[in-house]
Amino acid sequence: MIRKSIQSRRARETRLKIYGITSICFALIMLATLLISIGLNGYSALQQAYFKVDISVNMDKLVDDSGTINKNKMNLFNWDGLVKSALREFFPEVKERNEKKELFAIISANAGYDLKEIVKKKALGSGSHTLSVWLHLSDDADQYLKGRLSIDIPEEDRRINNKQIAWVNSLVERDIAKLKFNKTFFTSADSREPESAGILGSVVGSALTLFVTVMFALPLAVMASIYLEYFAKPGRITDFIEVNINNLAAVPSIVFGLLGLSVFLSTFGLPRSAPLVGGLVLGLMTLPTIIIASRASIRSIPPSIREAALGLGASKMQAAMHHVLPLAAPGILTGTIIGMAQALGETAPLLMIGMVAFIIDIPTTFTSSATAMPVQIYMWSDSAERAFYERSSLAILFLVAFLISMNLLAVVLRKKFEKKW
Amino acid sequence: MAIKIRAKNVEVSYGDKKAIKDISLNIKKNTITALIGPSGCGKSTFLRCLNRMNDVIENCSIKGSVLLDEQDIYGPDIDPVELRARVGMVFQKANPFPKSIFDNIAYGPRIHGLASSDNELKDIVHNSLEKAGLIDEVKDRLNDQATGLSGGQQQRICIARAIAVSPEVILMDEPCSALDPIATAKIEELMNEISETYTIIIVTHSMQQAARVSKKTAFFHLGDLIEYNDTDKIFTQPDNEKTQDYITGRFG
Ligand SMILES: Nc1ncnc2c1ncn2[C@@H]1O[C@H](COP(=O)(O)OP(=O)(O)O)[C@@H](O)[C@H]1O
Ligand SMILES: [Mg+2]
Repeated sequence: MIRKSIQSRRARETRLKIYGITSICFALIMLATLLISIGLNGYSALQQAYFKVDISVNMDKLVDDSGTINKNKMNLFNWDGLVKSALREFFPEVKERNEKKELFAIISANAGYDLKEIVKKKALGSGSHTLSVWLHLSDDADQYLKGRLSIDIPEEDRRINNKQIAWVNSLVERDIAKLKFNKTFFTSADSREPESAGILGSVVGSALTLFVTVMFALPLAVMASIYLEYFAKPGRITDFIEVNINNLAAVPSIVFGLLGLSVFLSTFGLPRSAPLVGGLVLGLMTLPTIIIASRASIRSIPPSIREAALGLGASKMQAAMHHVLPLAAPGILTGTIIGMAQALGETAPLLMIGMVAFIIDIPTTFTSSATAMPVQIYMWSDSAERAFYERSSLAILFLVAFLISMNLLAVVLRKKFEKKW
Repeated sequence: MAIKIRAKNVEVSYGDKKAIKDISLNIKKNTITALIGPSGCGKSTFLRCLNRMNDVIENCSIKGSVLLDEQDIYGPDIDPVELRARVGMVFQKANPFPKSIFDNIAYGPRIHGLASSDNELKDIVHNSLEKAGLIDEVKDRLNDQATGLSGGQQQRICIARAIAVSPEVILMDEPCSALDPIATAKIEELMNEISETYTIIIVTHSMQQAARVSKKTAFFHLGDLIEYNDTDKIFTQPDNEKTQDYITGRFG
């Protein structure tokens, strides 16, 4: 009898274990599938199609009398024409107007602008110079070279026609065009042209925003936790506050965006699209998370430490600041990092306060217009160009890498400072 | 001899529950007074009234008055923080801060501004450790973590830490309950040495310890003060039957 029941108990245990392992495996497989599919879509954005042109510029036309580069003259100069005529030299047979237009479509619309920036950076001396520069091909040529554009479909449905394909191929054969590491992706902000678009703008925007978030939420959360743990008299009001902090943690993030819109933008008149406002909104959003983590951490410090300090004549505040807080800091930090990771991945509230704008400058201050990484991903994935799609996949990989490293950091911190009492 | 602490009709309740009832007790200056009684009878509660550590406990209310040098410590012009510098406390479980030995001892003097220079602070730390009989054991490792010491040493660190703020009264709540006999003997010896300059009140569950160290003993039972007298008297010919029963080990 007993034997039999033991056997069935064992069988039950084994079955349960198998269920558990299966569900963990399932979760892991889903995660891996997700990351791999994003990776396969995004890895090609690490490269970009460039073409090489030899260009001669006469610096004398571009400088002041004193010899320094004149911005106005730089901007007025026809860089575009320079690039285009250099390109036409490779294909002298192209004469007709329409055909020329088609030819120019295989290079980036920003090629002239990029050339100007290159010349500016080179700080050439006076006189004539011949430069050999690599400029972006257009995103369609780029996608074709990466094999991302299917050429099986009818020509008129394609973004790149047969003639253009032939030109690109001929450039590649002559070693004038090739795929190179896509530095632009890591050094630029957004652009209308996929080949000129990068994530640096949104990374800086996210960093500025998160900085405001920490600076705003952390002190507030720590003060609130200390108050609730050590000073608040238990009663209805304290219960009410406590319940509402927990409620706040469950409020959908878009609501915080609405709050930011009506309070920070409309009432206080803070600038739209600014990391300052984004940081404040995300700070409000993460506040409950950090408060809950901080309180748990403070509560885990043995009361005897606090009693010791009080017994020596330390005030409540001194006992909290000198003894409890330093010991609770790792736990608070862990909670903060998790809150920050949450904030980093948040899109909805930022949409509400206008951080979804198309911004081509890398933000430099807390009030300049900026966007954030998840919003950038959202905007790119919404674009028609195939090249934006691969960029948004690569940006997702970066965001995920950031999030994972933040969470890892939290785990490591917790492990490192785990104290046995 | 002078009276250091005068407790008058002290009554403490946690919520609705009375922990001690109508306790009146005079504590003599520079003597060791022991509080004994079965566990849960309110010894710790009474002890904590004397430096207002009960203030920190939620829903704890106190009636009656406690006079320290004839001044009511629950009076409006008394700051509990200041009071606790005058009435120090050593807890049942040794609770050194997870900091260096030096910082443990120096904490009190630092927050009360007792030392005007680093050297003065060092002197205070040194003297306190000396009084606590620890100096030889720790003088070469003042920067080591106090939590790395043995249990007995940790408890003596706590005593040294209390001494460092030069209190007038030291309250000890079963300071030896977690220690082995040798460490206990050291602490008792230490108490004897410092009893000339400090008024010490010790809660103990060990009657032998009360008999060994104290001059006066108070016996508590179920929140009442049953008997308070010279230790010799209590242990040889108690007036009350309950005291008799307790010290002969018939309950408790
Ligand atoms: N913080 C507290 N909250 C509620 N009841 C308490 C608290 N501390 C002590 N008590 C109660 O008060 C009574 C006296 O406790 P205590 O003074 O600790 O006794 P002793 O130290 O003599 O063992 C006990 O019944 C105990 O349950
Ligand atoms: Mg007790």
